[in-house]
Amino acid sequence: MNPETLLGETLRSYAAHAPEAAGLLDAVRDRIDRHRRARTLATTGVATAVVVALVATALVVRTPADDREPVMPAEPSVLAPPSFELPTFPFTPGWEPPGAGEPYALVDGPVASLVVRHVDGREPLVDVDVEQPGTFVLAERYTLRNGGGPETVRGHPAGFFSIYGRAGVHWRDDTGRLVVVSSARGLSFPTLMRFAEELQERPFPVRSPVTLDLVPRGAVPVTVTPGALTFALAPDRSLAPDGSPVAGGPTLELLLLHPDRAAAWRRSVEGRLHDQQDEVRVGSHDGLLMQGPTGRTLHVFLSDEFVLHVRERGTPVLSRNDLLRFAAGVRLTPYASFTWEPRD
Amino acid sequence: MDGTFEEYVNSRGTALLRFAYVLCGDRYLAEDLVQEALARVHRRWNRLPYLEQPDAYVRTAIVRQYLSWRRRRSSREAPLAVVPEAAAAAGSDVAASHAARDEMWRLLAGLPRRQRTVLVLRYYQDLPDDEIAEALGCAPATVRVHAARGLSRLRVALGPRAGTGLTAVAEPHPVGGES
Repeated sequence: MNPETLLGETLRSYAAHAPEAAGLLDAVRDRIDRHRRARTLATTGVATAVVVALVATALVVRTPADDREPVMPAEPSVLAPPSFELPTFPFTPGWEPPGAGEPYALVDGPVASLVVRHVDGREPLVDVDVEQPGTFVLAERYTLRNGGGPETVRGHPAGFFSIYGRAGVHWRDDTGRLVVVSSARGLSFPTLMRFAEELQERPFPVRSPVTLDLVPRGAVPVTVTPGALTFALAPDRSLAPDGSPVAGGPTLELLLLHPDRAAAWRRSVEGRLHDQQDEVRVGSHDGLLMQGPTGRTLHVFLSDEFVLHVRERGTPVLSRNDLLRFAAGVRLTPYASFTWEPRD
Repeated sequence: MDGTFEEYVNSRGTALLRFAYVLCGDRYLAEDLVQEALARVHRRWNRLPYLEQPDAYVRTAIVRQYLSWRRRRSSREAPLAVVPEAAAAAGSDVAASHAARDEMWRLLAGLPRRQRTVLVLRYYQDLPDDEIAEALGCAPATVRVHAARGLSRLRVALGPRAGTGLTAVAEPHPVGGES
């Protein structure tokens, strides 16, 4: 069977797995109403803001100190100004293949990665992944077999792979770390090997997508990508010796989602993960606090482009008040980009 | 809401969701794409110049919505290489056929979005290149380039296994080194 025929059959076969249309009309009506409200708000927003500002100013000026709301006694808080250091990527590129754009680094549990963008802005030109000893994320990701042929990279026996348009070279360094240099942009093996040989043993910074005013005491960042920041909240229970998160250990996950994606996620988990939701105020933003037997998730509507998704996993560490204070101190950096996939 | 619009959503909803799903490969995103496209189309439903063929208009809205999504390079993205070995064990023709389609579906997920869009419009919707070009807002020649590149990637990935249902595994580099 030729690929075109197989492609057509595949698409028609998989189309049967599409979502059901039941409820589509209601969902479209909701969305139309939402658009309408957004347009109305946009039209009246400026005028309202002016009026609110004037009224608020008048109230502040006229309210005697004695009439102010009594201050609630502070709950015990586990929050403190951040003192952790962000992880780094262990290498800095020492040579740029043609087409190389700006690199950036990210860390996801035991794997740290450096991504060299292509100047055309599409799929990256080169990826460098480094995995701590004892885990097998990269071996599974790239279906690696043992290296150890006659070729060497940086003085170590190298293995090569080429699969589904991605070519790569891998080796283990003296500390047992697995390093993979790969590209899905057609770079040749000699080019990849040159890139690998020219890597400098100099830390490359991992940029956080957000800044934080407060974090839970003892929190350790385990995932830092342009769209996600995850903390292990109790390192003795949340982290394995290799630095990877332990399933069930308390973590606090921050994701940046597109508003539509966030809405789709809320619909998909409603009644399953959350059976209660409250509208809340988070700093200067509206939020939605969802609770259920599996924990809490907070959505903060930062802008038309970003929803901050804050999810607690494992035994809750933060009080409700702390969770809202923590989220209120989250601010986007220029490195922020949204991600698609909140996990349940 | 206009009655004609309701009738349209009720009668064509399933087809639109199927199209959106094969386009993006994600059930939740497919729902979002269709809902958003329909909500936008509703605003101008009574003024649509193409009311006699609303499918084309809505399909274009879905395609452009899909292409406008910005996606970061995620460390959680499934890499192109991960294909379950179980597929290789398929014995019967039916099982082999399923395995081949599963493999093709995974390969599609690894294509750039424009290439995937062109292939879906051509091989799922059976649209000619000029109509695909109209939906994407580009020239028919560009459509042909995207189609050729997408098909080429699929052919390379499938290699001699195309259509056999066998699963690709890592291939050693010709200069050796893989033990």
